[in-house]
Amino acid sequence: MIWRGNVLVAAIAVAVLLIISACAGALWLVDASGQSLITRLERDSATTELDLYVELRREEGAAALVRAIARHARIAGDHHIVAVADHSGRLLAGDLNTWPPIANANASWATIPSNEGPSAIHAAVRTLPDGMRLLVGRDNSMHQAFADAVLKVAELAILIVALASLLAPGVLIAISVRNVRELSRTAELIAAGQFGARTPTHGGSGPFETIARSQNAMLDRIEDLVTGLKTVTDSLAHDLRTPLARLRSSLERGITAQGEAEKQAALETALGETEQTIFAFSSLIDIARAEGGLSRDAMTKVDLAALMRDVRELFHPLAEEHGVELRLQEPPEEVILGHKPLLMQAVGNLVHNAIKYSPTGAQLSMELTREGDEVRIVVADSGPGIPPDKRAQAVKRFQRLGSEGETPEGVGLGLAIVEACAHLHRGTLSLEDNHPGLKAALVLHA
Amino acid sequence: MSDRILVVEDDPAAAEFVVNGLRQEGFTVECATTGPDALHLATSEKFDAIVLDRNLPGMDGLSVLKALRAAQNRTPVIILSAIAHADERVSGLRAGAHDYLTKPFSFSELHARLDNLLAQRGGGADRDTTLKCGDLELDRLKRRVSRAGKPVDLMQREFQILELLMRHKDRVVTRTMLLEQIWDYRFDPHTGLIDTHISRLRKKIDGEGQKPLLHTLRNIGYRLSEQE
Repeated sequence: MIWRGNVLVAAIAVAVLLIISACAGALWLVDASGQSLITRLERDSATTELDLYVELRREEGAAALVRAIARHARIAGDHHIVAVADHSGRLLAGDLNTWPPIANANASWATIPSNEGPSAIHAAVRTLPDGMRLLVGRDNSMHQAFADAVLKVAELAILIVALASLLAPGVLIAISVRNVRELSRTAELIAAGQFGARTPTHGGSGPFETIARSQNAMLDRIEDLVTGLKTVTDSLAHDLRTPLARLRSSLERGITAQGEAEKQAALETALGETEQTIFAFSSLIDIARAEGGLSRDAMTKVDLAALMRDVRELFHPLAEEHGVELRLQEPPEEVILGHKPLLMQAVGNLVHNAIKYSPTGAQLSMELTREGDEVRIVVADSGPGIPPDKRAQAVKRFQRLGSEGETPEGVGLGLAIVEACAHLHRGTLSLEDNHPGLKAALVLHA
Repeated sequence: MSDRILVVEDDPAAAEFVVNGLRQEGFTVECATTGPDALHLATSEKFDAIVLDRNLPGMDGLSVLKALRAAQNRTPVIILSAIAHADERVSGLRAGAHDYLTKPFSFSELHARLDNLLAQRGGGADRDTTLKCGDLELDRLKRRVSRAGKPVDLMQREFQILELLMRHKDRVVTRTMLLEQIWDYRFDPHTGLIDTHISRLRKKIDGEGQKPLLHTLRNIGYRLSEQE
């Protein structure tokens, strides 16, 4: 990553050079136009003054002109230069000591090098008809002051750019480092086991905000998975202990039993317990696969009507044995993209639950309907139903509703599998009141 | 001469369980623990069936199977796998396996499937249009069943179940085999689901005073046989 740092430095150097060149150019332009503006103003005002003196000479005579020039020289500041001389060049009044050597006797704006200091004088000169010479000019002080001001601005600009270019990389790096620290602090907290840690976001759209948001989204997903896994592990540890303990005691009974028949019975019980436990494991794996969304690529076209008929046909004898009637409303043709084994298992679980919880003589109905892009598979019974406040609990893993002692067989994963199946098909499982009984609807989006 | 079975399994405990079980049932068993060993044994010696674990060191089970089939070796293969997913099953069968069994499995399940696999070698039962077990007869073309000459009226599913049992006469058919082959159902709903179908069928074929032909082996499966 070192070359990235070098690129940053080079980019900043180029930027600084560009800024300095731009500043120099701008200042040069300001200086040039400012100086020419000052020249124009000075020349115009000096020419006007000169015209006024010419007028004065014509109307009030040479003596009045000399007096006026002397007064002007006395009153006006150093910046203003006036002088009057006779036809031989002898000074009569004014700011100068000698009449300057000017080639053009009527120059509109001549430059006169100064002997008394560095500043030159610019002046308008006029020779009157009687040979008197008049001069009105300005010294260099305004030009000098303006040039000084521009130079000061230039110095200031260079200082600012230099400081900025020294500080900018530092500031940029500091901001990056702060952001990276926030991200890495979150990662360190996660590594230390605090799965709730998140990088604060401020709603911006900068690169670090984007990284922070995707990091947080990733952490949310991981936390969900970890929580899910933990729940499964906890539930497994809790719920598999019971069948394993029963398995153990059956095996012990088998070992200590005297009679052959008793041994055989104990072994058969143990085998049953083992199958129950394996079934719970397989169900949990099915749930995990469906919830992980891993099987979406395994989806195929599923004929739901045929699936409903198959499930009905499979469970019909079991329903009859329980003394309940399982009816299937003739389903409409409905083919969706889905996971057939899981769908079959889900519908089977709903039907199986309905049979298990229904009293003798009850009627169960299976129905397949479509509303818009929703396909509803409804299994309704007239059993005891599930009170609204217990419905959320019913779909949780290892939940078996019913009072102690009368809990029907099963490991309590049936509805959890149905919900996972709904999840995989981007649908929902809703448990509603059938007045009386339970109406379970697996809603799929086709 | 007893059937020769090659068992390929890298887990020693699982291998011992399968090998001992099969030897007790009278099979001659060879065992390999890696993919390359399995391929070498299977191509250099003659076996009647291969029990092949899906995950093996060196070369996985599916690759061994594909290599065997590519070499025109047609020995029946049962794949054992801890992966129960339908897609895995399909890829196993596509690679040329005859059957696919998910771990953990019961030995009786493996035995039943192996028995049926070996019995199919001649293809005899599959070609007969009429299947018989004692005085029970099933006509596959006319889709008729009779017991002691009297017609038995069966529903379509009941007919399919009976046909499967008769094709595997005197051998065990497990509940999962029935679920897979009749309903295409890939999981064990773990209820008396299949028992209810069997008991309905039994009522129709084993009438009052007739010799029972359809036997239930508790926790294992069913067998159609004249013997007890």
